[in-house]
Amino acid sequence: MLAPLAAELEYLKEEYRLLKQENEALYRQMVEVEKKSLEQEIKFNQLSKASFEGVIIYNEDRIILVNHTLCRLFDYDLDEIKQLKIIEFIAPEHRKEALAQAEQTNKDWFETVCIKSDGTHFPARIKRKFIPHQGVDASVMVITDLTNDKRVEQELIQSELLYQKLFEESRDAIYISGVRGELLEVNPAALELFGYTREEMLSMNAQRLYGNPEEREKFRQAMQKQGSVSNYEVLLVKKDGTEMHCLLSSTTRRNAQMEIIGYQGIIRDITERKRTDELVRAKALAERSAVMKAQFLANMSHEIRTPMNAVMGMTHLLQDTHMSAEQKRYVNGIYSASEHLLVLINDILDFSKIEAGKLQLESIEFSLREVLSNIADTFKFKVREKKLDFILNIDEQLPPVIVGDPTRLTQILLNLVSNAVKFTEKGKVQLDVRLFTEDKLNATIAFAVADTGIGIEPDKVDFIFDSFSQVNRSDTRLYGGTGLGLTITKKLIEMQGGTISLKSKLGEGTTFLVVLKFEKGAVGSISNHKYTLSEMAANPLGRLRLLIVEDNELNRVVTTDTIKKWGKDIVIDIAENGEEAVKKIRKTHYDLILMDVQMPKMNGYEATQYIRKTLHKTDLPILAMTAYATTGEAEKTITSGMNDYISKPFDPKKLYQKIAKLTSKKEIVHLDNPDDMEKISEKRIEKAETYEHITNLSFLEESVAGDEELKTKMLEIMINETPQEIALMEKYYHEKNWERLRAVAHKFKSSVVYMGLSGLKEVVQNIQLNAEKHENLDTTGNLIAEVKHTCLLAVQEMQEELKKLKKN
Amino acid sequence: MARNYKIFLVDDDIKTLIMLKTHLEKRIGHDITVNVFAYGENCLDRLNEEPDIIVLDYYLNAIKEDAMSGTDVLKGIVAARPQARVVMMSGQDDMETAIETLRNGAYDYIIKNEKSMQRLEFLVNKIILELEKEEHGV
Repeated sequence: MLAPLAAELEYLKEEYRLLKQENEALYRQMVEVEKKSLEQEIKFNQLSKASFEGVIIYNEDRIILVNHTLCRLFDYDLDEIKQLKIIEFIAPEHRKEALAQAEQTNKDWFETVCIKSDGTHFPARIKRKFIPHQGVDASVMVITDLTNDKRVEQELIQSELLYQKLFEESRDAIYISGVRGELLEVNPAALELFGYTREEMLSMNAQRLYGNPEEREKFRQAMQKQGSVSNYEVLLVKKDGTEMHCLLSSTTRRNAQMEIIGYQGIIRDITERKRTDELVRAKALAERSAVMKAQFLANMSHEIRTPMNAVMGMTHLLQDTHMSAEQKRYVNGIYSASEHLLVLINDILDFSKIEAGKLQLESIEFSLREVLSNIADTFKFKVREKKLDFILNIDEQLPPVIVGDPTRLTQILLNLVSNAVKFTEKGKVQLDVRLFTEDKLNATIAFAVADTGIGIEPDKVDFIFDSFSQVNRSDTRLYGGTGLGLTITKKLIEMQGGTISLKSKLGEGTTFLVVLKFEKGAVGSISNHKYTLSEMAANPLGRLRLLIVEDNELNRVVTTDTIKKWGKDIVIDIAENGEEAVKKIRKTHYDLILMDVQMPKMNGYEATQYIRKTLHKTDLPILAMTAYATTGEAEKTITSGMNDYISKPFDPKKLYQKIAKLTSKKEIVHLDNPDDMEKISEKRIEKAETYEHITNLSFLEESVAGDEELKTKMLEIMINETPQEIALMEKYYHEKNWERLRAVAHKFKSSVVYMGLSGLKEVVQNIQLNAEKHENLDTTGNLIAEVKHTCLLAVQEMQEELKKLKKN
Repeated sequence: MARNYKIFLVDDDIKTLIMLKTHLEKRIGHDITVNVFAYGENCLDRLNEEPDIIVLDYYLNAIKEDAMSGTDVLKGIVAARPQARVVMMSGQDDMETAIETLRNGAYDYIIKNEKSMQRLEFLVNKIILELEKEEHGV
């Protein structure tokens, strides 16, 4: 029995050895495989680590492998994740749908919503594939987070909506068309603009919207050439045929081959804007022509005024010659007709100035009573002639001096009173001036002009202030005038912030009421003495040397002869233009230059500039004579260095006044009239107080050139000598020793220069001349008094200056 | 070598004399001596001092009534010292008379105004240059 057992054992041993061998082989094989698998896994992990997608390899429901991105994506640890089932990656509410999608074999991917370890959801795309893994059936699943993709998509949807909204709500018409102009899409604004329904529009060609077919063709060509156009102006037509000016901005639509497949664009209706532009242009044109009209009128008035000056001036001169009664009547006729003509010219000029907004109001202090009495004077003869009563009532409470434009106030009242006189055949014309209201600064004054004339029909009252209207056409022939008078009057009143109103009864008379507000002026501020004709005759201008610069021969004669009547000692020189004037002024001393503005060769402004700047004759009075009656012209004369101006044709009274004012005979003093004396001395004191310093030591300072010792010496001499020299003048004046007075006055001029009392130079010069010529000797005393007054103040100032010097 | 030039100033206004003398002494670069006289008579008395330039006011009798007039003084100078250059000074108003004095032998004239000092300075320089030329033939 042992032998079979041993054999059995031997067999078993062999069996074991073989098995062991096989086992070892298998083991080696297994180690080999495992080693390979490990390498693969390492490789996989390395790969999947870098991936942006989560990767899971699984069998049945068991997870074999995951990459790091997956862990990151779901926020699990590697160990945790291996415990999960695949379905647990999907958000519970999406699992059913996801499973359904996964079963569709024709699709290897689907989108769903996944859930992270913390419960948050995220959109994801899942790709699935079966792969054998280490000999077993396995699936690989790739999960992509779609959060970012979804956002972009959302934004795209949002922006599309935005464009849709823009398209729908735009106030500009928007269209999309095909290449042949067929309309593919239009927005509601386009429907509104053209008046078609959507269906109508989408079935029509854009061609039909054009007013000019060639414009459409041009547009098409521009589009093909440039690819886009902006603000292309076209004429389009609405459904009802209304034409519209539109701006078209368009771009081409192209396909992938860059061929034009159509257009899209915006249309804006600019018909209104164009109309406004046209209006603006028309307005500018109208304004320019108004300015030109005003300029033309100003020029015309200049052209007319120049010969008028000659006519009126010579008529004036003729009136003073011996004539028969018949001749006198004719001459008076010429004079009143030319006066009338001048009024008409002035009316037209004023009207055009008001229209052009060029009329400027002055603001100066003036005496209301003087204005009123001048008006009464003006109508004295006319009223007497027509056998009317003229009554002027002036309120006692009226302020004596008011601030405003006396010329324009006079014009307003003259116009109303002259109308009243013109339209009244019997009875009276009455001017009542009353203080309406008053406060500390201002006074409101009411002017009532009442007549007992023809009156105005009630239905005409409203039009009476309109331009070119007289009550009846026939009135124009009967009463004359431009019909501008009341228009100008009203405008002048309104420009001053006042009102005008009227009451009238046909056949009984008319009352105009003007209410104007004025600032109150300072009493005593007006010193301009107004000369009456009798005063002019009684007060010759004295010894004067004048230069008349005028290119018009007739006007030269008028001016010369008019002035000559004012004194036998007036020497008049003539220059025909500025150049000649400058030559004469260089050689001869003149008391006054009468300068025409418009002249060939050097004109009045240029000549004045030359006289002031090159000849350094800053004190030489220059009176401009201008036929331009505009405010601008007046300003120009003053800014160019002239002292004053008078407009041609000139009123002889005014010319006299201006000459008297500009030459040193500033005031003709009536020694027997104590009021006048008081007025003048008042004015002088005022003058002295106005300036802080009456002396101007700059010349002295310049001369001593910083030499304080010399300056001290000079001041001492002047302080000492000045009173002595004045005392000498007084002494010789009382002794009537004219030759000595002349000599002292002559010497005194250099003192005046050193003291810088430039205003006094003329006065001293006149003392000297009066003494030399034995003229105006009774008024010379006043001149000496003026010199004394000013010089004593000057000496005080110099004493102050000396004190200061010595302190240093 | 440039010599000393003697200038006489004649004016009855002390201020003018002071100003002119100071101005000339300061501004004239040449060696000059300036003498001042309030009366023409005193100037004539000292012509033996051989002045080169005499600046003479036209009116000299403002203070002293019976003083010699500028014209008379000029005549005296022309007679006694014809080589002296006489510059007449006058106010603007007697400019014509001043020009008349040129015919009576005055060298030039100056109008009395704010510019007269500069004008005199110019004239004095001009005369001195002329004299230099005459004497040195430069």
